[in-house]
Amino acid sequence: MASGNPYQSTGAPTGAGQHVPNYLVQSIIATACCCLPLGIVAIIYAAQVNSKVAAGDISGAMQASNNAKMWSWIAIGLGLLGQLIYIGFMVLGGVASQM
Amino acid sequence: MNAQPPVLRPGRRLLAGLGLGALAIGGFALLRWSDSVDNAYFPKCPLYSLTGWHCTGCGTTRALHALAHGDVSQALASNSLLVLGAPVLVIGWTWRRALTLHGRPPGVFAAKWIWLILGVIVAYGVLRNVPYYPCTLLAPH
Repeated sequence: MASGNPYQSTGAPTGAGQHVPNYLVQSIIATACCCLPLGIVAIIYAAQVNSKVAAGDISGAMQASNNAKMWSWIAIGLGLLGQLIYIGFMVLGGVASQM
Repeated sequence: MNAQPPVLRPGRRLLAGLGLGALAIGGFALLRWSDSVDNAYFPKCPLYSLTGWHCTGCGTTRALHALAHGDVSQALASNSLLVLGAPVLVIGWTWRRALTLHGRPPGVFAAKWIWLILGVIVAYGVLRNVPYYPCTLLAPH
């Protein structure tokens, strides 16, 4: 809660609209559930969102926010893809053992 | 500087909430009625299959299965970080949501807390692979 934090100027015209999402929840879920180091990249960007917002660098924070969003979805997507490939191999293995 | 729109519009937000709720209830029912998760109906970790590495999330399915059967000590044995850490994050997140919904922006929490969360996740993922006591208590067992 640094001073100069835009959130603390409630009521000011610039204060209310500048919510910069950090996608921390998605990033943690991606890291823990999808077993992927890419989730860690997303968490690093999430941390950057908060430090940049605290420093007043809103455009930098938005860039970090977009990166956090992108990497958490890449991690979740790769996790699901890995799962599909794994199921594919299991099915192939099952079929092969029948032949 | 454009104001960032909310992540989801209220209608979509409700839909996403209902979808997640249905998923959670369905998942709980599936876990509750399964004798074990050691079968083809539950997803396996591709990373573990490839590397044998117990990453931070290793044992999540087994821990949730144990929780769905009320077996907290087995859940702690499978993934202690999930059992102890997830409630902390959920309470923190709910608290901040509640502040926002009551028109009090909770402010930006310091980035150091996110670094701390990241540090815990990475440290847990490393320590549970160390084959010596007491680290062996962290590995799913």
